[in-house]
Amino acid sequence: MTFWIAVGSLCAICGILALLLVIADGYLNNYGICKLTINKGSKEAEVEGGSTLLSSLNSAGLFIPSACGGQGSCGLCKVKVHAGAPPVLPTEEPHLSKEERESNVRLSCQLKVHNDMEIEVPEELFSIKEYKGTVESLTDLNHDIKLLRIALPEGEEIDFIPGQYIQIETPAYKKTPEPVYRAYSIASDPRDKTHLDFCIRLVPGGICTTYVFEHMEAGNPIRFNGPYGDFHLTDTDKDMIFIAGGSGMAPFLCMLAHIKNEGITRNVTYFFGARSRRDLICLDKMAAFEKALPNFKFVPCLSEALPEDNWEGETGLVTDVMSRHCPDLSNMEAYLCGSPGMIDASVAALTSKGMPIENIAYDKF
Amino acid sequence: MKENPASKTIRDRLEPGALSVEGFLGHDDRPLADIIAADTGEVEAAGLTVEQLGAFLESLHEAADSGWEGRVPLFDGRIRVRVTETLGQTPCPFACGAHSHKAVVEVFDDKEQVLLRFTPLDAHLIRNHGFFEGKGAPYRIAPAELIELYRLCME
Repeated sequence: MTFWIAVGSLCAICGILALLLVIADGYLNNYGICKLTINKGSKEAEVEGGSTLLSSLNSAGLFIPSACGGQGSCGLCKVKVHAGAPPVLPTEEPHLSKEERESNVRLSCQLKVHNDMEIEVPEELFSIKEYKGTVESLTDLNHDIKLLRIALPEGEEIDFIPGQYIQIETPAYKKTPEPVYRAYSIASDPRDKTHLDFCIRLVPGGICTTYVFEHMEAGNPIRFNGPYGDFHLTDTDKDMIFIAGGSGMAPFLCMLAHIKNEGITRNVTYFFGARSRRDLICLDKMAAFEKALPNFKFVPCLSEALPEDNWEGETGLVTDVMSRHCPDLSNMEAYLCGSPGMIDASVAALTSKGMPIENIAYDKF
Repeated sequence: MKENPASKTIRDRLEPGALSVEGFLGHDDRPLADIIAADTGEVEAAGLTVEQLGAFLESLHEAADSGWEGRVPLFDGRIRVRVTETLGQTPCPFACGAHSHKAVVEVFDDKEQVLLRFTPLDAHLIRNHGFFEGKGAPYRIAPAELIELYRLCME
């Protein structure tokens, strides 16, 4: 009998302790409403504490660029936090220089809002908006790249600079519990302010691209924000080289449309790298640009041309082909978009041929 | 082996939908520590270390990167490596602060047969965390296969 009383008492004590823990957790993790003061009061927002600063700012209508969707890998979502932030977190350290730490720069996707904060962001971010559009079409460009075309809502328009990107939301689906964002360069003609095009390459196992390839359909609603980025054509008269591979085609479609619209007569040579003929995209569009722009030349280059390709064009590494076509690069500019490996190889090749590093612009996520 | 709260948090990041569609565990329901202990034990029994194998994979990725998605011959032509890169990075599911580029590296033998497929994140996970992914995961590397490839190249 005494034994059962002891067991019962122990169970009761454990139950009370568990209840106290649940109640305490509710209080301890309830940060209440926190006030965000932005740019010395230019904008103020009250947000529910506990979320990341990035998502809190998003919910307050202030969109901070983030190419990785808040995973702490791109380092683009930096803001200055002058008050209310804890010490720098280990996940922020790789992205912050000594100077940035001294001037209170933080990675907003890693920092959680637990109290009132004073924040400083570039003024131009105030003009970035969120849009709710519709998927107008999804077209295969090749076996692993699709062209996504989004229509803006009736009566809405978007202005952007050729080379900029948009953050597209993938809604929660299957086992992905919450929406995630990824950045995609705009591929469409900047004169058309009611539609946006994107080239999206399938990432095996990727949450967002798998959604685009397997679940997205024409007519679906789609949420996005932007535009972001400072990858754009300079206002000089220098000859230009474009280098891209795969879905890196996107910003150059947009830039070439801009060059055509504005009657720009600068010489442009575009080197596009692919493995075999099946990996090439937008050949018809490139032929149309060559016809419309007398100073534009498109040079596709295959690294693994197959016998059945009957390929008579350039082969080998894009960087080698570029070196053959352009022996002296000292007075030219280069624009690159592609994978990190491609960008690094291109920068090395361009600088070895005399191109000043400041004449090279790239989009490397 | 019991699973502690820290490894439970990591395990959540390894599940489908957290960092990738399929996740990193496949159908393997062993505790994370047991998965790691079994695979690292197999590597050590072969007289190697996970650091050696992870560094080996990193060197293959670096070499493949120079080939612009074409095949790059290595080790006197015994293997050829080729990378398919996409934009973006994946954070380490062990939350160590590291990020790996999204890419798939294929290793071919001299008869163009695929010997191994791995991601840059696999190289990091093996080298720094002794994690080869769970059985049935899309990018699991069986330690025996990697050891065989390592010996093919190094001997």
